[in-house]
Amino acid sequence: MKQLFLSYTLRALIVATVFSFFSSCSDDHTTAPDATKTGSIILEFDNVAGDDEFTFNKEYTNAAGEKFTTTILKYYISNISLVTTSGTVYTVPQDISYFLVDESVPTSTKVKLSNIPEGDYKEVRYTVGVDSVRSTMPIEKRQGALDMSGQGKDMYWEWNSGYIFFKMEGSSPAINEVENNFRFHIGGFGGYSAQTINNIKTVTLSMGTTPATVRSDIAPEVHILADILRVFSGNRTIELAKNPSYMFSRSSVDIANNYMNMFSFDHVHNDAAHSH
Amino acid sequence: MKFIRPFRCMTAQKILRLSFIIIIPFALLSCGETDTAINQEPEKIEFIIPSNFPAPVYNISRNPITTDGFILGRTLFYDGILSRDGTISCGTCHQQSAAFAHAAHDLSHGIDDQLTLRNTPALHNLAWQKEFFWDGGVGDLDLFAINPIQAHNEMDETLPNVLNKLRQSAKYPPLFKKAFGSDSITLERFLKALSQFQLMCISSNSKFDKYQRGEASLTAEEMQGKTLFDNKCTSCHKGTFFTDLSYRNNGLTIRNKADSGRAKITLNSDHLYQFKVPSLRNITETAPYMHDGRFSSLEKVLDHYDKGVKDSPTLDPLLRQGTILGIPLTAEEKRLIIVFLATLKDDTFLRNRLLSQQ
Repeated sequence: MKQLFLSYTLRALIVATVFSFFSSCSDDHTTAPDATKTGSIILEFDNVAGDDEFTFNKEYTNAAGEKFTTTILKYYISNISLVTTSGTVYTVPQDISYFLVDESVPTSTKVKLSNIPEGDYKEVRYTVGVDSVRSTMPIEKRQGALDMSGQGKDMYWEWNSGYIFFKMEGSSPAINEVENNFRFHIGGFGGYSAQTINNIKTVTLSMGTTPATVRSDIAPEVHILADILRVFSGNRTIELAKNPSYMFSRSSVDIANNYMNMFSFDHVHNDAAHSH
Repeated sequence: MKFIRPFRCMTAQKILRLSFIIIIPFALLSCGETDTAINQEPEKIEFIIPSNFPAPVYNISRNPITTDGFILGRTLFYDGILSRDGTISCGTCHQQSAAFAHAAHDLSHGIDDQLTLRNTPALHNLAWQKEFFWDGGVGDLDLFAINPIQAHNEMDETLPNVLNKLRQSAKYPPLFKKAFGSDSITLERFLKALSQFQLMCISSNSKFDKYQRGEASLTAEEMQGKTLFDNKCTSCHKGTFFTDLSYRNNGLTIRNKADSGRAKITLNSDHLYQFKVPSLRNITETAPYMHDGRFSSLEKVLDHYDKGVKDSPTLDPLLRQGTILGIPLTAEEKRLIIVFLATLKDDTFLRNRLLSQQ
């Protein structure tokens, strides 16, 4: 009996060990990163309103208690860097590091970065807006999201050369004017030759305990929430009834200082590359 | 076989100093072609820095000027297709005979007879400008044309629409192909072609230029005017282009509070009602004067500096000497200064057929 018990115990142990070995493999993707290989990563910018999904024309309430609906929401994400668990920084080449996240273009909310060295990335850094160097570059350096005749067509001030970093428009019954629309067109890179407002904001998000494991066959999807209610609060509470229009002005800094804190890391899927 | 046809009244040695070298294929002249516009088309356009000019600000190597690029740019410049309803071209407000300013218009007129905030500035020697518009809102010639195209009270068109209209036209795809090697019409090519035309709007053959190059002399009165000008005006209107490219409040009364000038761009209250110091080249042809075209003659401009300067917190310090505001001038001094300013008129430029609507 004793022998029989032992043999059962042994068998159980062996089975358990084997199982644990297999399961640890699939959980941790234990293939070590190979620096000679590259993969992709997707940053998904999921616009939300507090705990709710964000959608156009749906009514939300801002921190000042004003109800509002939105018809336009888009912003530039640029100069993306990824940091590994060991602290190595990978910076996406500048020429391909400009993206316009536009709520009305569903594909635009998933920023796909390719040719990323394999690695376990724990942190993502990016600029909300367009850096000052690119903002003064010649026309041939303004491609893709920065093409003022293409994706960037409504995101450029032609009279005061510069990109609109963040654009949000909608209406609110709190606005007591003939038309009850609000317009946030926030930009300002510091000026060509004379100093002016600088609303370039950088964001650093930690991905917590589960890194994004970029491998040639794994394209992690990093889910970032952008809480548009934070546009109205944080640094300064915005009251649409007092001022429904923020464009190229000193007060636009208040909106930018609010929205720079609207981003938060939610979760990461370390899924096989082919699933995307 | 080719020959070089210099400008009228120019000696062969002066060809080297010309802004353009024009080479007309002999074959075209002799083939019985009846379209004279085609016959007169130059085969080669070159950007040549006049000997009395400094190095340009614009980086020509980024946008090498070619004859076909120039012709495309000129065609675009004079085409209303750039505006929403086809009625307004660049040339509508930028008239060559007025040094590409808008003759006899205080505020420039845009689409649907709308008025803009400001007077149409003259266009010349743009390769030497570092910022554009009265308030310097744009710091790159290539980006300059986007403003009038998209402004609601100027051409009221959008860049995507302009490019689509050009793509759908019969005329433009071949012109883009000639200029850039393929008929792909992109924003970069469109703006660079416009720049090529504007860069060639070089005014360097005024009597004053010729005096500077030792090719002509000024009369006694012109010299007297020059001396007065040097003493009283060159703090701001300095150098080859008669501007230090700065922004200054020259003491005009405020007619339109909404137009805060340079402060619109910098959001700095120290810059309230500052406007760019304009070039004075061809100044006798660009009336009316000031950013809002309020003065119809040079006499009125000098009267302003003599007696009309109004004090304000941002008045330029050069116009406040102790208790005296402005630049005191006698009637004779004003007359002589205007005699000198007339030497800045460049008829070669004002009448250059290459720069005209074809």
